Amino acid sequence: MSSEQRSAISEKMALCHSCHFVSRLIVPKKGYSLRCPRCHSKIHLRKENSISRTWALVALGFMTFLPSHVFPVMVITQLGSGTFEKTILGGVKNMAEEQLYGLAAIVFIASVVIPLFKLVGLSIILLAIQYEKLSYRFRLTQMYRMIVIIGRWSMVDIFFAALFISLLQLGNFVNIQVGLGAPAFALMCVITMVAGELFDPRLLWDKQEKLKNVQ
Amino acid sequence: MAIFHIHKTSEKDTTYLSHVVCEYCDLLLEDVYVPPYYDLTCPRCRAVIFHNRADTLGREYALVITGLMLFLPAILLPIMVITPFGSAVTVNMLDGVLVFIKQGDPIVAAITFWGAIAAPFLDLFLLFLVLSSIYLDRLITRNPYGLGSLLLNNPLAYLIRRTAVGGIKDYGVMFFRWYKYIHPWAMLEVYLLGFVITFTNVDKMAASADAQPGYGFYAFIGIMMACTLSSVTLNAQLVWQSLDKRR
Repeated sequence: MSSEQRSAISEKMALCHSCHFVSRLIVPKKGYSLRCPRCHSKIHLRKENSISRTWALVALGFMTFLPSHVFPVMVITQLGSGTFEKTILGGVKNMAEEQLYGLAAIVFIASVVIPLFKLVGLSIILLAIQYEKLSYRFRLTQMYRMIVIIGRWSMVDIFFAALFISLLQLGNFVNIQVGLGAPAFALMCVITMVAGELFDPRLLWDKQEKLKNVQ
Repeated sequence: MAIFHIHKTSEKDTTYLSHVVCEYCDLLLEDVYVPPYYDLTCPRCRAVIFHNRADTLGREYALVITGLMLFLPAILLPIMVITPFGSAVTVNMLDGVLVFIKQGDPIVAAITFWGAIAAPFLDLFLLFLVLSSIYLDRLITRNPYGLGSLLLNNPLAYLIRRTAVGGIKDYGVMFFRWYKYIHPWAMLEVYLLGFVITFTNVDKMAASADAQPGYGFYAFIGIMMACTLSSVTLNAQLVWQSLDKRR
């Protein structure tokens, strides 16, 4: 079974990334690039520099993850009772205290578990490629697909803050300001989403092909 | 070199694929038959590679037009209404962006605007343009002397097409490529979850606040359904084939 499984790259075929058209590769003339015959986008065998680009974005993601949880997302000033600074985890704690356990769980998963899963997961995949520990590559490919699918849901915190802050602009009684945590968190979401898009999971499956050719 | 052939005579037909490549593990499959309404799964990494979906482009066209019609109401009508001190306070989707600009936070404003308003709009609008070009093209090929050619093959339309690049079909290809890149950024279902969290929080926080969804919320649900349903049932291979110039 496994001997019959061939990669497209070993058969000198390539998949167009935007329209999924399969074309046979030829060596282009100097100064020309390969284009998909159906949609005219450039054909790359693999996404360009995907490992270094993904590493850079994962590092940026880790760097923005910490400030997004240290700095407050909202600064609430209430007339007579002073100023409260609310971080994301503080908000989760408040919701749990008000017996909104489901909401607390949703916000906690969306703002802590999913970003960490994305960042750590991508790091594990990248390390597996670089150190050639590819025995779990089936699971790693599944994890990559999971990362891409659930990645967008961490944006829920930003949308919650947007609605909540604009709703509670109630004049002089309560004043809600956006804290530094909000831009950090929003940037972290976007950065990790882009990192998922730029990574190429086919790199997990390439090594075996090369090894087979050598043997 | 055309290799990816689909031989399909009716929509309830088994699809024959001469070559398929998995986009996740680069596995090459040859001579695959996919029964109607079945998905093709990669035997090596278990990703779904190909859906043999029916031709529902007409349904998607209707959904996209509905979504575009509901767009302005969804943005401008109040999405949530609270009555804290007897007087109603309303908020719409645009307020959720403008509040960040007002408070001097352009990054969050831009990301919220992109994810909740701009990307969903472009998603629907680009799909509208793609399907329009396909349907105009079908109109002309079916009836060369009918209304479609009257619209497109008159001297004025010819002049417009000459000045731009290559005619209507190339635009379709360009727009569908953009659609593919923009689609993951349209996060209306995530916005819905954010709405639910805000709603429950406000309702719990102030017992006298009495939060209620406004008319904008129903329009918002409409565009969310349009966005999601049109992408879930879209037969992308059929769209690419209809846009293909080399037929």
